[in-house]
Amino acid sequence: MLFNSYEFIFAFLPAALLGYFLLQYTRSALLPKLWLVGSSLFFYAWWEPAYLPILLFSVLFNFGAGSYLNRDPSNGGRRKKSALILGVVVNILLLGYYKYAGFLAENLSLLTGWELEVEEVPLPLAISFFTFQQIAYLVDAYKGAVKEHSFLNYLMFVTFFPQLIAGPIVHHSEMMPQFARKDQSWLQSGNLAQGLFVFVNGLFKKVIIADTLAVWATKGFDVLPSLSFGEAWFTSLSYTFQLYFDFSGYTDMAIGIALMFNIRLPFNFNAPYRALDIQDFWRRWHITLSRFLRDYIYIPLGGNKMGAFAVHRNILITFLIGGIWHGAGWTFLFWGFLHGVAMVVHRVWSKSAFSMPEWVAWTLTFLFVNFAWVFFRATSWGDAMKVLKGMVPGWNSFGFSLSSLGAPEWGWALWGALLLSILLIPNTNTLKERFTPNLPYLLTGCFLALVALLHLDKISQFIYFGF
Amino acid sequence: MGSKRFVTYFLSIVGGSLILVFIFNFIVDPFGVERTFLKKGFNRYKEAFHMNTRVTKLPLSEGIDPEILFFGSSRTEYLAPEQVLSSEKRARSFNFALSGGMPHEMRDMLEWAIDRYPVEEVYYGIDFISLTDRTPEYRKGFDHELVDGKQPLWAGEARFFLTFTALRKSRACIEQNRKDPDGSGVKYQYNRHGSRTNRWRRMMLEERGKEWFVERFARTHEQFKKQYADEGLSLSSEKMQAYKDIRRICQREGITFRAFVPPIHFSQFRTLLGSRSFDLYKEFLRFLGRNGGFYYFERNEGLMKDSSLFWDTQHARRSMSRNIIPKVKNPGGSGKDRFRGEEVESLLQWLEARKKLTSEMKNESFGRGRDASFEDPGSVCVK
Repeated sequence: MLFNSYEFIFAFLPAALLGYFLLQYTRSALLPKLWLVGSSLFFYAWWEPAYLPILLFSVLFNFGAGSYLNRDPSNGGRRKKSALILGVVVNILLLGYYKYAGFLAENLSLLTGWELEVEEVPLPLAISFFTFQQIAYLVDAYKGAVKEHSFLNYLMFVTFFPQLIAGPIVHHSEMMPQFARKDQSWLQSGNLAQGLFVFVNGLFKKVIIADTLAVWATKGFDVLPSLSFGEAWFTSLSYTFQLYFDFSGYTDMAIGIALMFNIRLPFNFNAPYRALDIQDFWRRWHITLSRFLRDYIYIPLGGNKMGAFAVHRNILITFLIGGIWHGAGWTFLFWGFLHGVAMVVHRVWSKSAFSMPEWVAWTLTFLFVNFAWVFFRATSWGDAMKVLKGMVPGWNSFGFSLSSLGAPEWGWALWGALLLSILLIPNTNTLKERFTPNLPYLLTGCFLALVALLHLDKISQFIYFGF
Repeated sequence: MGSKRFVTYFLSIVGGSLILVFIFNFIVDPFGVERTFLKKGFNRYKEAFHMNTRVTKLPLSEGIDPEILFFGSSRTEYLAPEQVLSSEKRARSFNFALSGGMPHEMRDMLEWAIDRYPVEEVYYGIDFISLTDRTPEYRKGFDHELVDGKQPLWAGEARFFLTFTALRKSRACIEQNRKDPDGSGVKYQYNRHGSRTNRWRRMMLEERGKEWFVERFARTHEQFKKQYADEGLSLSSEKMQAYKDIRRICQREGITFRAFVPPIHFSQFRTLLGSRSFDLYKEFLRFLGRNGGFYYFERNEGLMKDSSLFWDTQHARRSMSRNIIPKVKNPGGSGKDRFRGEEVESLLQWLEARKKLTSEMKNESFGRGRDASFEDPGSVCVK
C-alpha cells in the first residue's frame, strides 16, 4: 500500500490509528500491539501477499538467533561467534538470492563463458531495509548491547508499517524501548497535530513536486534517443530534485505517521543539497543508511584509526557496499565508487592547507552529486553516457528548448525556484521542531493537504521501494 | 490554539473541503459518472463535458466485476451484446468495445481486465476497418491508464474526487467539442454495461433539429464510402499481430475466446461489397479463418428494425445481438455460422454471390419501412 493513495489515507491509516488507541481502553498491553503488528503485516501483504512468509521467516530467524546471542552477554565464546556469523550469512544469502543472484550469474557467465541461468525472482518489498536492520540487531546482541527481549516488541520494531518499506533504517535501541514504554500509549493530540503537519508536508513533496519532475526525468533518461545541452542538464537536474523530494517526502510521511502513534523515527535528511563538501552531504543524505554503513561496515573494517591507505580503502569498500545495496547493477556500484573516491579526495584535501570560498565548495559538491546521480538513475551505461554527453557543451546541439521533454518553457524558472526553496526554505526537520499549533501552520497544512489530495490520481511508486 | 483544536480544525477544513468537492461532482457530474438527475442550470450540459470513451470504459467496468468481456469497435459497442447475456442473468458481462477500437487497445484492455476480474470468456467483434492502416488513432492525446499507467479521472477507490487532472482533461474535451461539435470520441453516454446509449443523439436532435441529422447521415455515409474506395488501403501487420496476441493471451490464461464479425448497416454492407476494398475484405476473412476461426452471420448486413439507430449508416442494430450472441455462445448450435481455415472459401463464395446480387439491386430501393430513411432520414426521425 502506498502512503500516497486514497485507500491508505482514508481507510487504512484512520483504521489503524483508531484501532490502536481504542484498544488502549481495554487496559491490555498486548491487544494494541497485536493490532499494530496485524495492521503492519496487512500493509505489507497488500502489495503482494506472497512476500509475507519471507518477512515472517526473516523476523523469526533473527529473533531466534538474537535470543541465542543474548543468552549470556558476558560469555563471548566461539559458539556465539559462529552463531553470529551464521545469522549474518543467512541474512546475506536471503538478500543475495532475491537481489543479487541474477546479477552474479549474468556476470559470471560473461567472465567464464559458462551458461549460468538463474530464474528471475521478483524482489520482495523492503528486503534490503529489514535485512540491514536485523543484521544490526544480531551484531548488537552479540556485543550484549540489546536490552529489550520481548518478541512482540521485536516484531513491532521490524514490521512497524511507517518505516517498514523504505526506512528510515531504524536501530533496535531507538525503537524497542519506545514500544516498551507505557506512558505513550494514549492518543496525544500534540503528536497527532505535529504528525499530521509533517505527513502533509511529505505528501505535497511527493505528489506535487517529485511526480511532476519524474515525467521529465523519465522522458530524458528512458525515452529520448539523444539530448541537447539544455535537455541533458534539465533531465539530470530533474532527477536530482525528484529523488530528493520523493525520498524525503516518503520519509516525512513515515515520520509523521509514526508520530501519530507517539513513536519518534530518526531524521533521514537534513537539507542535503546545502552541503559544502561530500562528507557534509553524507551527513545530510539518507542519514540512517550512512549511520548503518559507518557503525557496521566502516568501523569494523578499522574506521579511521589506521594508516591513510587503510582508511581510504575502508572508505572505498564502505561506499561500494552502499552502492550495491541500492541495486544489483554496475551503475549502482560505479555510483558508490564515485562517492567513495570523492570522499577520499575530500579527506586528502581537508588535511591540506588549501581552502576555497563557500560558494565554490557548494557548487562543486552540488555538481558532483548531480553528475553521480546520472549513474544511479540510468538503467544502462548507454543511458548514462547519453545524458552525460549531452551535458558536455558542444557534444550535441546547444539548444535550451524543453519541448521534447514535454516540459514547459518556464521549466528553467521552476528549476531555479526549486533550488532557491531548497537553499532558503526551512526543511521539514526545522518546521517540525518549530511547529506550534497556530493559524499559519493550520492554513499551510490545510493548503498542502488539499492540493496534494486533489492530485492523487497521479499515483506513482516511491523510488526507494525498488531498493 | 491548542493541539486538539488544531487537529479538529485541520480535519474539519480538509474533510469539509473534500465533501464540498464531492457534492459539486455529484450535482454537476461533469462526466456522467454518478448518473444523477439532469437539470438545466445545474448540469444540463454535462454531455458536453463527457469524457473520451477510452477514459470512461475502465472505471465503468469497476463494480461489475465481469466474467464475460466483449471487445471490438463501435459495431460491437452499439450491438450491446452484453444486454442479451444480462437478460439471461447468467453471468456478469462488460462491453469494452470502443469507437475506432484498435486490436492493440483491446489487447491492453484485456490485460488490464485480466488483472482485475475473474474473466472466463472473451468475445471479440473484429471489424474489417480496424485491421486496416487507415483508422485514426483516437487514443493518442489521451494519457489514460492504459497508456501511461496513471489512474484515469477518478481513482477507482474514490472516484467522487474530481482532481485537477480531471479538470484539465475536461477542458481538453470541451476544447475538442468546440473544434468538432459532431466528432466522434468525446461525448457519448454509456449504460452500466459499457454500451453506448442514445440519449445524447436524442438531445442533439431536439436541439438542432432535422437538418442536423440529415446532414450527419449524408456525411457519415460519404465517409464510409471514402474509406472503402481508397486504393491505398491495406491490412496492418501491427494490428493483425495484436489480434493474434489477444488470442494467445486468452489461451495462456485459459479463457474461452470467440471472434465474430459484427454486422454493419445494410447500405454500408452493400457499399463494401461493391468497393475496391472487397479483395482486401476477403483477405481479412481468410486471416481470421487461419487464426482460430470466427463467426459470421448470413444476415451480417444487419437489415433489422431498430428505432434508435436508424440514421446511423455505419452500424447495425442492437436487436441483431439477439440473433448473434446465442449462436456465438453455443458453438455446436449452428455449424454454418462458424468458419475456420479452408471453410472460409465457402463463405467467400457466398459473398461473391451476394456481391452479384447487390449489383443487380443497385437501382432498386433498399426495402421497406425504416430503410427508406436512406433516401430521406428526416421523414422518419421526427415523430
